[in-house]
Amino acid sequence: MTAHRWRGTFVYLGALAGLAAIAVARFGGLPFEQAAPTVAGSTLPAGDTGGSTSGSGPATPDATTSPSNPGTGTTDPSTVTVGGDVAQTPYGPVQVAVTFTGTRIVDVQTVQAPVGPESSQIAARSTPVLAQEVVSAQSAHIDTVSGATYTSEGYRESVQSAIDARG
Amino acid sequence: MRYLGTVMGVPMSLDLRAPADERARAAARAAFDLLRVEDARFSPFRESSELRRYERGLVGSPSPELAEVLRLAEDARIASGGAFDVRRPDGGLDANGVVKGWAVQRAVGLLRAGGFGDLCFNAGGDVAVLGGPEPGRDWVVAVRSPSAPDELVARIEVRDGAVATSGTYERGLHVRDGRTGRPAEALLAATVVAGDLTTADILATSVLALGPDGVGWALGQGAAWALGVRPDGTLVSGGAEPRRAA
Repeated sequence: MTAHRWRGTFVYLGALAGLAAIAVARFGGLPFEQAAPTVAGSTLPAGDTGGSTSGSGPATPDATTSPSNPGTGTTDPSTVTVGGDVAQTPYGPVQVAVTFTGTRIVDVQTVQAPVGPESSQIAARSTPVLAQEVVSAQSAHIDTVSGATYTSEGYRESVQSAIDARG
Repeated sequence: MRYLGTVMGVPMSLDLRAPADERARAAARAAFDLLRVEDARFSPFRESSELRRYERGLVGSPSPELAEVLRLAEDARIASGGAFDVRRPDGGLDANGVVKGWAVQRAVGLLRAGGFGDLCFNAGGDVAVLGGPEPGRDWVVAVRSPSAPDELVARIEVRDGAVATSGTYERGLHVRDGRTGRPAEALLAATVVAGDLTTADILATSVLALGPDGVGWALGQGAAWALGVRPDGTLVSGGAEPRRAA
C-alpha cells in the first residue's frame, strides 16, 4: 500500500443536521435504471415535474396502497406509497414502504423491523441511512456520503419489491 | 447520469459525468457486470463460489483474482500486526474486508480505461472518485456520524481518490481484532482517504480493528487522511495538511 496521487481539503462539521430534509430525491429505480443528473448546477431534464418547488401535488397520498398489498401503484405523477414485501432476515421480518412522486423515491419508511435489544437498533439505524442516501444526492453541498456498509439483504429486498410493484 | 444497482448485498450508485449516450450506458453496465462477476467469485453465501470451494480445499489453482485478494489480505495482516485478519477462528475466510473495495476499484479502472474521467462510485458507503463533478470543483464526500445518520462528522473534497468507512453502527461488532480474536470496540467508526478504494477499504477496516492508534498507523500505509470516532463521540484524526484544490 503505497501513497497515491491525491489531493483534497477537509472541513470538519460538528454536526450538519438536516441533510435528510434536502429536496426531493430523484431515484430511477433498481437495479440499473438511470436517475436524472443530480448535484449542484445540474438542470432538471425536460418533463421532470417533481422536486420541492414543483406543483406536482401535496404529500396527501391519494393513491396509497396497503403495505400488505403491493402492486397497485398508479402511473400519474402524484405521490403514492407502496408497501414492500415482508423479507425474512436472521434478525426477523423486515418490511418497508416507499413513497414515490412520479417515479422518484421521496421517502422510505420502515413498516416492520425486527425486535430485540440488538437487532432493533441495527434495523432502526439502517433505515434512515438508506433514506438519506436516496435524498442526499440532491444536495448542492454534498455529492455523496461515506458510512459503514448499510442495509440488510431483507431491507433491500423489501425496498426492491416496493419499487417493482410501483413499476 | 446516475446508474444504480445492488451488488454484494449493498446498494451501489455510479454518478458518471459524461453524455448519457449508449457508450456511457454500456460502460456503466460493464462496470456493474464486473462487480457481479467478482461477487459470484467471492460470495460467502454461495457454496459454489471460488472462495467457498477454496476454503474446502477444492481449488487447486486459484484464479488470479483470488490470488490477488489473498495476497492483499496477507499483506494487510502483516502490516497491521495481525489486527486485520480475514481468517476466521473456524478456519473459514471472511474476505468482505478486501473484496468490495478491490472490486469497485477495478470497476473504476475499467471506466477510466474507457475514457471516463469524472465519476463518483458509492458502494454502500465506500466511495471512489475520478476527476470532479463539474469543471473546477472536486467531489464532496461527507462522512456520516456513527450516532445519527443525518449528522456529519467530516466533509472531504477529493479528486482521483477514495473514501472508505468501516463502523460498528450498522452491522454490529462485525470486525474482529485479529490479535485477540475479540470484537473491535475501541472505535465506533473509522474513515480513511487514500488514492484508491482497495487501499482505503482495507485501511479503514484495519483502523477499526486497531483502535485509535490505527489512525496514525494508517498514515504510514498509504492513507492521505484518517479519522476515528471513539465511543464517547470524540474524534481522532491525522493526515497531510489539507491542500486546497485549485
